[in-house]
Amino acid sequence: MSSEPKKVDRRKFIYAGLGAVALIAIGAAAYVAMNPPVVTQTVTTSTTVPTTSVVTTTVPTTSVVTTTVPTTSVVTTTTQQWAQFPGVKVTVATLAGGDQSFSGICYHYAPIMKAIAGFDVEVVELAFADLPVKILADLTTGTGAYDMFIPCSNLLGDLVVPGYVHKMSDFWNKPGMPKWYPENNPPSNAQCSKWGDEYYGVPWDNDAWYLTWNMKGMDAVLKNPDKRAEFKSKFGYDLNPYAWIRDKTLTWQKVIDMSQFFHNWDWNGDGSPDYGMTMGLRTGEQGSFWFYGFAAPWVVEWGPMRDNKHNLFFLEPETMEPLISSKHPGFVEAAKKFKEITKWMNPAVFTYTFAETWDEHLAKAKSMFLYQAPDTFSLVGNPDKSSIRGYLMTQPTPGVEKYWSMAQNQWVEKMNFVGNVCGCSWHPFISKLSKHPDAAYFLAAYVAQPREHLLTSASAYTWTGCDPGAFTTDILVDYGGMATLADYNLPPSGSPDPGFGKDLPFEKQRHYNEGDLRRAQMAVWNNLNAMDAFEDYMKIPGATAMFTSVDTHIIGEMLTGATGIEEALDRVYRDWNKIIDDYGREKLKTLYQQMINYGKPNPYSPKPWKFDPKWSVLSPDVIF
Amino acid sequence: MAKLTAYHLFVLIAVAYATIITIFPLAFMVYGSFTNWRLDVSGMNWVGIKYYIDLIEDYRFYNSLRVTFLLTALAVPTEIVFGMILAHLMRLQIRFRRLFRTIFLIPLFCAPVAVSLMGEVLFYEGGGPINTVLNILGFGSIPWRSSPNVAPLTVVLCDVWMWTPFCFLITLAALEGIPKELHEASIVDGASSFQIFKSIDFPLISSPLITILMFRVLDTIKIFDIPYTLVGGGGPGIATEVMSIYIYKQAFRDFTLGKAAATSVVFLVIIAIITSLFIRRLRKYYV
Repeated sequence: MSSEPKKVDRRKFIYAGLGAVALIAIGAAAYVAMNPPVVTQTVTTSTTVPTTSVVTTTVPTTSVVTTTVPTTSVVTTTTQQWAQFPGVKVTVATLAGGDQSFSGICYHYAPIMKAIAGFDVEVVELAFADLPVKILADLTTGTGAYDMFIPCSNLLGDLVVPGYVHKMSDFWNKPGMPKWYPENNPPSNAQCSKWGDEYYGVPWDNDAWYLTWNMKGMDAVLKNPDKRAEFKSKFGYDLNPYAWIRDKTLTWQKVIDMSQFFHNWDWNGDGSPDYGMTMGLRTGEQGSFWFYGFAAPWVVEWGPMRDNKHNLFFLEPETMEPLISSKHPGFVEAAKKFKEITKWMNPAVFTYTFAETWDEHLAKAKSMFLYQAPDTFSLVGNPDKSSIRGYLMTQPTPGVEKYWSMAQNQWVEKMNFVGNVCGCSWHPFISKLSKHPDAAYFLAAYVAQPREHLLTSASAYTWTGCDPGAFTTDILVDYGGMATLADYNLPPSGSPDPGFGKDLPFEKQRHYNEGDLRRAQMAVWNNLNAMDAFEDYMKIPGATAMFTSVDTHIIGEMLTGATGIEEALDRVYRDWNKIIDDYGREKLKTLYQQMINYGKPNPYSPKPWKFDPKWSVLSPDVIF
Repeated sequence: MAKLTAYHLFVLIAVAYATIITIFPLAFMVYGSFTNWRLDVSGMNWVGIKYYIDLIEDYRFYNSLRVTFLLTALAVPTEIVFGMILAHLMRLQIRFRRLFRTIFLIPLFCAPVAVSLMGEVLFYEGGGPINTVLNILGFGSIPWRSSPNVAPLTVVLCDVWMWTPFCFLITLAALEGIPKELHEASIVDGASSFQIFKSIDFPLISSPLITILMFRVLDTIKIFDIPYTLVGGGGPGIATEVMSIYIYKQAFRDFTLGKAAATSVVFLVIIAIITSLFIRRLRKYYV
């Protein structure tokens, strides 16, 4: 026989209910109190904002650089009425970097925005791997937590194609907006913030992969006849790297041979064996960019038109077939050489991110070569981070002696140098979910003004990692820009290096040595303008997933020996086909053809190569 | 007509909680596994069992299963054995026993990510403390995190370091619950320490040991934090790509939430089968 449910006393029921409500209230209060704080920085120190500044630079009429430079250039920023956004807060999602890197840029300009335009800036710092996820989740769910984001540019297609971000032309002509000059943004860099002919982001960064080497160690060997003879007997030709730079004949094979030569003996005098080359090849980081930049010379052939045989690296634009596979002899050769060069590195490179490579190459000076993003330019002069200030040689990606021609379906025995803008290339985009897009654009455009951008890319107020070259005005006057040595706190050209100035305030410190600066700037110019061909920046929807596939199979599996070269390439090929089919092959084909301006004339054509005998070598007896 | 009593109301709260927190997300995930649900595109269209069929041909799915069970098979018995050894040692009358007990428990209070970051420093191949000592002793450096053959072992070492204290704690409590008279009687009968352990201690603590085994197996199968942080998200390559990392990558690197949901459902079924076999086989150990 079942019994009736026991009835609860009314008083006890009320007390139990009040107790439950109290518990819920306490829990909610605890949640609010412990809500992870959004990283913000409200700076209350006063900042002097220049309302008028005139910069006049006079360029000497004689120049050893083989280019025509303007004899005078004047940049004037006059007093103007800025647009006002009282009571507005702009939330920016960016790569976590504290008061440095791209978050550092936002923190620096936050008080300036408040002072001149009346709005607050809230910075949300996100880890590299989380950035695309959080941004896309925000957009696809319609949350709109971020007004502006500064993601890796390979996310561009995912932002533009579904219509998640504003065109910059929506804001250009609005009154009170800062002016930046698209005509100064080189086409090779512009592809990282443009889709077709429209800017969807404001150009800030200029990532690309460059080769650097330790001139102190290199020159010591070059001045040693025994060592030069040893190199010649081992490799069959003379060690003459500076002549190779001058003559534009520095190839990856020569770099591999030099890396082997400098590997496993003490060339820096610290008592322990040193290494030939270093790279940051840890899985889950930016390893794919290393492969993209390294492999391009074997694969990309210049052509006057954007067609299905020339200027290609990633996909065949008619069929959308991935080019990275064992069927492409250029990629097979590139992958073999990529694996070969890792033999002349510290075995720990497969756990390296950027920081370890800087430590090994700049601070400890234990690797002769580094192939990487241009952050080294602004780090080499800092005595806390580098022991080779004044001794950094910088060059664009080396070339190859032969490349695979898709047009001729055979190897072409000819030098081929291919420029790139590999790397994340961080540019701000304005969300269409933003309630304050004008204010967000104001911040982005303010940083992109010629003078402000020069200071930002020179790391004049904090280390930004925002590399020079997004605008030609970042470059030294001698090489076609508007920057002067004074902008880098350096004395007139040819003066003795005053050193870093550790005791000085940050904005007065001399982050660069003149020689390092000039070599870097020439390399930037050569990379963007003087290479034989130029590699596209992969930014269609799905580019992030494709990037991850290369990272997993080529960086993670092929280089560590977990799988063979052809199998690794084919795994990438299969993954990419799946990704393309998931999105829709025909749909992506249209977008890819837009991305590369298919069927239109190639806007890139090589200009003369820059070499400055005064600054590209430290003494004349190392060039033969 | 049934009367709505307070009993029903309180049960309703529990049912609502279970529905919101567990049942609804599970049901939505199962539904999502039959759609082309993506992170970068709004909307979900029905695709049927497409992703389930893809899994059958997906070598990475089998690899992640293999890695998951390999790590579990290596880590869990090691933790239990080390835990038992430490528990047995702590029963000895040695000086500073309490201090040692406290020290042995410290790893249990560390966050897994902190353990991974500590592992990054210790196992740093370019001059970390472990390789430095090995070099001094003449053994040469070991590629702890860069070799696809060694990296899984490194993950196991970090997991063992972190979870051995849990096994130690439970085992110690179980050992201290054994009546002293049993030991005294066996000593009088001339039994050795090993015989005492084998015939008295081990049978009496087998029930807690089984509990530890079940907890640790189910926990290790779901491991994510240590392989993700220590070796770059399942690297090098896919050498330490456990199932949870593979699912994460499908969802948040490839943006294919539907495929991730399908993989999750299959993994859930596998775990459920293992768990039910486990419980059925070991039911006799629970009184």
